[in-house]
Amino acid sequence: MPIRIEVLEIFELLEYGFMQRAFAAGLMVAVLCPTIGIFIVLRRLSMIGEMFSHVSLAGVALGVLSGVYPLATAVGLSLFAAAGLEVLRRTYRMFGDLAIACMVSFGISLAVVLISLAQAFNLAIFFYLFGSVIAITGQDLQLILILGILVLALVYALQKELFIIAFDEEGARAAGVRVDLVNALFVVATALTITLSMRVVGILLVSSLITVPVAAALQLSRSFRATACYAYLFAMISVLLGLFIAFHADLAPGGSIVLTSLGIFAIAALSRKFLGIGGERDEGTRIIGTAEGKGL
Amino acid sequence: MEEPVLVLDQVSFHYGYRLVLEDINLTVWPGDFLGIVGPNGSGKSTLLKIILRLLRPSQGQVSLFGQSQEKFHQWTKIGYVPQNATSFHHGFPATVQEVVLSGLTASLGLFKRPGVKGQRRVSEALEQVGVAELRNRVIGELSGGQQQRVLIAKALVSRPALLILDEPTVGVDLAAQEQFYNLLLELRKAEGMTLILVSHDVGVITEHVCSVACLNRKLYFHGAPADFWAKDCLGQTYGSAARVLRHAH
Repeated sequence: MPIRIEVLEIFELLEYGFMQRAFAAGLMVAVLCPTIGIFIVLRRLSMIGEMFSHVSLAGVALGVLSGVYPLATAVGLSLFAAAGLEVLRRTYRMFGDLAIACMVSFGISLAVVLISLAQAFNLAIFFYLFGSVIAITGQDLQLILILGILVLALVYALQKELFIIAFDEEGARAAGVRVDLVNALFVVATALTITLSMRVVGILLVSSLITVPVAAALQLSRSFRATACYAYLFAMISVLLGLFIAFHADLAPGGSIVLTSLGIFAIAALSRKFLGIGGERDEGTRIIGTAEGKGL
Repeated sequence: MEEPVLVLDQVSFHYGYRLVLEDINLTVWPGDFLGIVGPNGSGKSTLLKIILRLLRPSQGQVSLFGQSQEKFHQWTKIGYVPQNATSFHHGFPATVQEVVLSGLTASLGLFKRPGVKGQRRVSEALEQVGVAELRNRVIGELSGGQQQRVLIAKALVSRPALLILDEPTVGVDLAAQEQFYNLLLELRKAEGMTLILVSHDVGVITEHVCSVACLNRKLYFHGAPADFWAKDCLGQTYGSAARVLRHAH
């Protein structure tokens, strides 16, 4: 049985340290991305994913240039950008996406300047851009797991606030929910998630792993809890199957993971359309679908 | 003597250089059912936002339950159902129960979870507005009138003493509107709740409320609906074109 042999091969591969690290980091990212993604998608904030990916790229370039550990500089610069975003958002309260647009420009322009300063398109930068899951070091994994658990704990603690803000931000504010504080903490959680995930899927594909599993979950779910469960399940399958395919066929892991998640999205959308799973598609779901499209 | 629920004292508000509200004085007593009416752009929603402290007045003072707004922290005493609330929930993946439960967020505070007691409050609120059988349905699949009731249940779940509704009947069909006003009257009777409702639909609102505030930048009238019609406040507030509207009702 060829499939059985392949599964056995994977188990053999798992005896190698680099493979264990790849799967451990991949699974953490598969939990982190939908945790943040569900709120990003429902609040139509896909651009924030783009913003932090660009800023992370600048952070990596800064690290490569200065000889500091790139993941650390990326985390640092992302947190700095998160603070900058909050300041801009409070100054231009009426134009929330203007603040994000400014920070996207900041990230990409700084990245371009720093990469040009590095004289050449450094291989390390290339790894971060497209993901390099098999090159994950023990130090990377440690950072991914520690900060990942921190993000999960934060979102778990704030989940009822994040839900009501996603449902009706103004109403939440009127009810006395500390919206500004929760938003600021959520932006930090998002910054960390994106920076940690880029090691696995690459800067260019991080925002896809944040939005696509949630988009697929929205096709089938009949409640918020179910949406979260489906999104976790789909992200896990995408990462595990994506890595499996990548190793077996010698393909880029980041791309394989995101293509797998898109495959799941297609199956979910078709099951909804032809099998009626998840109920009739209505106008609003289509609007949310479009918003996600922009994030890809 | 009973304390007023809300006092607006010489409240004015500017959006940039534009004066949106000018010198508003208004007192609302417990158990009142106040309808705030006025043409589009008359500052009705702005006034509600000032009451809820979503906006700060440029001048004047706001007091809630006998406390100045700066010192007031019991926001869970106030339930708020925002404008066009029914239009943006299509496609939001949440059941009626999940939505109503979220109404407890502020009263629970950070890091606390609603327990069995919270679930019981949700059931009570859903019973109260008559949509208990919809609790497992997705919010976006309900009719405008049903969604409206769910959102009121969400506001009621923390047992507010004052319920504020901004244009609640937009997008709700006429039969459901009638039921909706009956529901508000029941709540007022059963819970002794104070209600403030904003609407541009003068004809319908004056049939149901106990007092009317007529707003167009300034407060033109505040009193009983019968006096509102007798003094022809509509013509003064909306301009002469509004008379046609009045005859139409």
